[in-house]
Amino acid sequence: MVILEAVDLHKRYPVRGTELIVNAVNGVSLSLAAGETLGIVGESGCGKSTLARLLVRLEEPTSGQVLLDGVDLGSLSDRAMREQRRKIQLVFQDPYASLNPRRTAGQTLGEVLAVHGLGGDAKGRRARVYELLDMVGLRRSFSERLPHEMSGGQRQRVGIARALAVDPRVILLDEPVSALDVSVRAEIMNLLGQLRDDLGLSYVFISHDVAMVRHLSDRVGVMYLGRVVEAGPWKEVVDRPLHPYTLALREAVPVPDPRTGGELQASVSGEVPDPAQPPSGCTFHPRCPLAEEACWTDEPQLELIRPDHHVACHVVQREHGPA
Amino acid sequence: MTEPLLQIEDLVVTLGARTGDHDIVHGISLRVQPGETLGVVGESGSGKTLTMLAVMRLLSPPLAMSRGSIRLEGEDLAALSESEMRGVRGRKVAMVYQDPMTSLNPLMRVGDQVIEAMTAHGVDDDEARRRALETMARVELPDPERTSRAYPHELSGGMRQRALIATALANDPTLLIADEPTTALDVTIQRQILALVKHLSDEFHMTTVWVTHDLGVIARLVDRVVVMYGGYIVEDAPVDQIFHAPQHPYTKRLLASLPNPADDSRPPLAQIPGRPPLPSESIEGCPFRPRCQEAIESCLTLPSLEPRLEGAVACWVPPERWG
Amino acid sequence: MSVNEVAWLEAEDTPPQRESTWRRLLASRSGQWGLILTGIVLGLALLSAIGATPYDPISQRPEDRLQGPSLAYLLGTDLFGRDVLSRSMAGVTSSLQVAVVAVFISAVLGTFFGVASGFYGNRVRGPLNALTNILFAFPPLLLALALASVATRNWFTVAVAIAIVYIPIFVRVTRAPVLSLRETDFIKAARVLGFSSNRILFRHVLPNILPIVIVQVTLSMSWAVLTAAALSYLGLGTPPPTPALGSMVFEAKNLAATAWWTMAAPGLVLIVFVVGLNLLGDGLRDALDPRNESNA
Repeated sequence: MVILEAVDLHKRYPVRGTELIVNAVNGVSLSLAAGETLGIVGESGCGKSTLARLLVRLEEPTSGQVLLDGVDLGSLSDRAMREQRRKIQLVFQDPYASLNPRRTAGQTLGEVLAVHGLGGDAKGRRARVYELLDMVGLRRSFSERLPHEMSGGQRQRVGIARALAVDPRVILLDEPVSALDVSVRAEIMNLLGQLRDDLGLSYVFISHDVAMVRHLSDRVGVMYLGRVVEAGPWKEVVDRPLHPYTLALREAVPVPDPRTGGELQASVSGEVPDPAQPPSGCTFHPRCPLAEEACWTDEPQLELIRPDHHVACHVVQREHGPA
Repeated sequence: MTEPLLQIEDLVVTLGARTGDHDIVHGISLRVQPGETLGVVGESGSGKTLTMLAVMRLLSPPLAMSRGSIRLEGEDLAALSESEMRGVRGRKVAMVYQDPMTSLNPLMRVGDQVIEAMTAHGVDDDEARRRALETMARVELPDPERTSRAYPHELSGGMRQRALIATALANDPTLLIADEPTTALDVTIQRQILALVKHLSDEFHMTTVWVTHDLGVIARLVDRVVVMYGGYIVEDAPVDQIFHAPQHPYTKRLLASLPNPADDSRPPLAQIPGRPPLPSESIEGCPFRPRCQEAIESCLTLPSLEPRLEGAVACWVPPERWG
Repeated sequence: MSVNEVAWLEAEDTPPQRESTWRRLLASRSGQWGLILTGIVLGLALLSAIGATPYDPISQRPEDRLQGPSLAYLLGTDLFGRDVLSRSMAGVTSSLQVAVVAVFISAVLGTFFGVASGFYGNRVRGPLNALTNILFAFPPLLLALALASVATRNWFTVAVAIAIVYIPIFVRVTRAPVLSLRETDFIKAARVLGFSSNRILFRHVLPNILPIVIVQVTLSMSWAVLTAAALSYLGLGTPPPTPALGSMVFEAKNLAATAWWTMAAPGLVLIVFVVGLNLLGDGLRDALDPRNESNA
């Protein structure tokens, strides 16, 4: 059962002072099934953060639709949108910026409950706040703490509790552990996994950390300059990628093992081009070792290559043929 | 045994606060041999950056080096006058930082900054100009002539970091200290920079200290690793031993907490409870004790760094006795 | 309990020491001096307001004119035999009256416009920007002069003139933080959680810019006091016989060489007041940031 769907989303921003336009999200479609975790990987300029904002309706897409439980979010009144908001929440990357510095954890969580009429009276809300803190592994005493009296990991837990407070069906995790100390990340990742299993949540997990995405996701999509270039089951996309960019990405991920053979070499040359002036045809072609004539002129579309595994690359499509 | 290029003995860095002085780096000692690449790994509060700033004598009040000695090629850096030290900074020891956008002067063309790195140390203009282009080619900046005329904001992140490395290498320093230089970069660009530094290091027999929180990054880059925690060195060993036979519980647990890219069953991550200590916190005995599964009574006394196998470790409990 | 558990439980259960803003203010050098200096001046003003000056500031005693500081007249007398100390105290009260009203008006209006333009943006921003920039472009003193000379002169119109001049600073000072706050994660989180714009504005944005406004109020007070003094020096301030620090300095202009106390006293009071307010503003700025003391 599909709980979240994006249909041909586009988001364009004009570049101030010029005639140029940035296609931050350039025709992205995806679907998330209930209980599923969809991982999205990509580097700067790929549009994953913009995509996240479109999915939670922090911004309106230039074109395309976001369907939450079958409901087109773009067609809703403000009032109706507010109701729908309970279903999809967001956990932010920076634990230092994601909480109001002047509110205690208890006040932050309590306010969410009050605004949505959850928890009943003040006493009931207080009980629910303690319950939420408990769910994310924080003691009750934390409800009296201000953000600057908590560590990064603790703040992140409060952010997770806040997202859970409205009983969502989908949670968008935008780099949830990237800003945390390395020795703290495992605990938070495990918490996220456990909450997902206990509460039957669906996740969209956005990160540049391929190893973490592999760990948590059922399906993975790879983005480059506003488009999805490869999508499929985690094992396929991360361990057996087909798109040259995904290959380069995987190759570049540092492996904590000095015995990994061979000379240390760059996995791909060049840099991500200016999104306001993208290359013609396949936007990856200037950096692609497999680039052919067609790649300069024709933009490749996602095609099914292997079961459930889509790739947008002329060369791959030709060599593997349609599934 | 050759004389170490850099020798730090019993370094203590103290923070003078309104509520009383507080040590942040607690008497660490380490040696870097000529031509060696050393990795210094630590999370927030580990003291790794402060240690490097102490080497460069760039600590400013309320931070100060209150004890210990730092010798570069046998010369005691603390004994130098400020103008003598200026002759050392940028010429004998060069440092590359995390954010090239703030480390480069935004109002000055990139080429001029590389030139300035040399003219500030007495090189004449024409010679500096020539060597600047040479250095920029060495760091694989495309079209050095043209790039040298660009301003930092006109370059991409990766190019800026290369430019920064060029300013650091312009004077052929004996020692290069790189403090998280790739943390803010995309993973494919990071790989390019890592490959570049490794290549330069090998080709010119450069001595390099690479400071990072990411164990994966240094696995294939360094010869030896020093692990810092809470202002102490907990382990100092050749890179292979660190990854394949870690002697300190922290090192072992940190490595174990990373997702295993070869494990298809994707078990929950081996989490470490708690969090790294804040610089303002004092812990009785071993700084890792509150989070350590192997902690015994003796751990209330600070362990000293003792030789074990091919390196050294500060821990009372050897791996054979770990649970 | 095992060796490692005790340490953590103790650390995490102990409620953190939360230093109150007042404490922090008292602890900083600028806070201490700011409080002392403004305290002195306010004390004088208070005494004057309840009529507790050594002499009547207005009545003249020609027989005692131009006497130097003595036990009878602590800061001497002026051209008309009036006690300089009493007049200075009264002068502070009148300066304070004008400054407080002026700053209150400009703070309320300026903050309102600044926050509105920052938060609701686009349609409001253009014209508001233009107006702010125009007002800002005028040298404050000239503008105050122009406004003060137009209306009938009493302390209130002087206050309004100064208020108008200082509205733009509050607009500027509040708009930028509101604009950047709008982009912070916790505000975005509030929107994703379905909070109404009003709730976000009043409960999340305003409390976070309040410290900035408070600090700016303190600083603006010092400017307002100076501007009021300048206006009264030029004869455009509160009309006589109410003593005003600026006009006192003006009257003492020609006597500076022979009767230095007639100029030194009001001048000194002004300086102490303005410096004190500035120091207080600095101290408040540091003390009000909730993040300052913790996590190094």
